[in-house]
Order: sequence, then C-alpha cells, then structure tokens
Amino acid sequence: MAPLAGCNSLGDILGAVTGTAAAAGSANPALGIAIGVGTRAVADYGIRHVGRRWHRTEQDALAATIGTMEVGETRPWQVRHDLPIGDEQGEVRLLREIETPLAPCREALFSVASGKGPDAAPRWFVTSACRQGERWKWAAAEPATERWGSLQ
Amino acid sequence: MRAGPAALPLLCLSLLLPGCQALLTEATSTVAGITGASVASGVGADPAVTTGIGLGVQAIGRAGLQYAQRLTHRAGQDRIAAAAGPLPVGGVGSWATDHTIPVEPNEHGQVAVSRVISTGPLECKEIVFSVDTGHDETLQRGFFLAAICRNGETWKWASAEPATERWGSLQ
Repeated sequence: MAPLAGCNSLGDILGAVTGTAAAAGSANPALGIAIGVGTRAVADYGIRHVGRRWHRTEQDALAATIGTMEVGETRPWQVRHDLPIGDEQGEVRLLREIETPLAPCREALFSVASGKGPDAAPRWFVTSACRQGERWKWAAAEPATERWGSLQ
Repeated sequence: MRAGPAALPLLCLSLLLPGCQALLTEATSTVAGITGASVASGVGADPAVTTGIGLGVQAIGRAGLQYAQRLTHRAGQDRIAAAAGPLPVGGVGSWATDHTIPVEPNEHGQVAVSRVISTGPLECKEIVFSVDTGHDETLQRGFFLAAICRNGETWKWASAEPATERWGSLQ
C-alpha cells in the first residue's frame, strides 16, 4: 500500500480543481467553495472506499487461510490485487482456537515479507478471525479511543 | 466573501447524513473556516492573514469534530466493556448504543467472554462481540475480538492500536 500512500490527497486535489473551475465559471467564490467541498467529500469517500476494499481483499485472503488450518500449522499466504501493485505474501501460523457461545474464532500469527530474495526479513503480526456463516472474516477490533492518536 | 448563503445548505446536509463521515468532516471544518475567514476579511485583514485565519479555524473545526467522534466511539466501547465485564468465561450479554447526537449510527449486538487474560491486581478478559444489523431473515452479524481490563470499578477497552506498518489507509 506504500506506493499509494499519496492517494489520500487526491480528494483535496480534485476538490480544488473542481471548485476553482466552478468559481471561475460563476464569478461566485462561495459557490466555488461549496462545489469544491462537495466534490472533495465525495472523492474522499470514494477513495477511502477503494482503500478499504483493498485491505478487505487482503484480510479476507488471510482469514480464509486461517479458517482451513490446524493449530500449530504454518502455511504460506498471498494476495493479488487487480492492479499489479501492493501485492503481498508471507506465512500464517495458527496459534489457538477460541470457542465462544457466539461464533468460533481463531488467533493466528501472520508475516508480511518485505522486499524480495532470501534476505527479505518478514515482519510478524498477531490477529484473529471469526466464522460468519460459511466464511471466515477478520475479527480484530478497533483500538481503545485513548490510543487513536494520529489514526484519526 | 459572504458565508451565510453557502454555509446553510452545507449545515443542513451534514445533519441529514449522520453516517456520512466524509461529508460531516468537510462541512464542519470548511464552514468553520469560511466563517472565520469572512469575519477576518470583514474586519479588514489582508488576504494572506485572512487565509491563515480561515485555515486555522478550519483545523480547530476538524479537531472539534474528531473529538466528538472519539467521544461517541468511546461511549460505544464503554457499553460493550460494561456488558462483558461481569460475565464469566462462556457467559453471554447484550449491548446497545444510544447516541444523543448521531455522529455515528446506533449499533447493538451480543458479547461473550472467551477467556481470562490476567487476574489479581490487573484483571483483563478477552471478549468476542457481535454487531448485528437487520433481523430475522435479513440478520447480518459481524464478529470481532477485543480485550477489556478493569479500571477500578469500570471495565474499559484494552485493545491497542495496530503496528504502524499496518496503518495503510487508516491515517
């Protein structure tokens, strides 16, 4: 996702371009701002929607793998997006099964390989997945609001 | 620059769309920025100063909305934690939010304790909670895992933020 980090500014750029064009066409700066704001809001929502779908693809791939494993097993995982950027792969290791009255859940470790070749050092993260109907979905909840900091 | 006529439709729109975070963020901070800038230019400040004041007020407006969002979300987390805190391992409870100002839509579901993480002076539990939408045939349930710890008499959300390498589009 790193090459697309600048995507979040696209909304601002689009809003500025649209707002300027509207203001020039109507000679009313307030109208230009209103149209620019509306465009930026729509563009922001659209870009965030795309970003979220991007990550959902990766989360679903990992969760689906987790759902088929045995405790203690390690398996490779990978995700391939429609555009050939941001494709990732690594390993998954199932740690434990979590039986709950609500749904079966699992805790797993997953690694994301950075770089290529034999020296690529993988980074490991812990996560969880729960079964919703027939599919396994990412189950890690949001952090406590006291820890949101720059995330907002 | 007159802010009145342009600000009103933006405000009305923001009130009608409680779940549309992008529009809410835009309307609040930009209207605040426009109002601030128009006051500054009315007082006779030069354009550069006016722009600076407008952007500064916009930043405060956005910070104000983020504060409201954080408070609203914290209320939801506190509800889930309070419902799960007294439960034993394997116990199930219900939770629901009831926001006065719907910065986020109201949600409801169930919560269960899956295991005790630690006991003694630091009491923490691992919980699984559901967020339910629709009912009967259209019922959709999402399940999520989190942790809560007891802080004096109240139970609080204890899940930490993800590793920065995983922030991606979150920021």
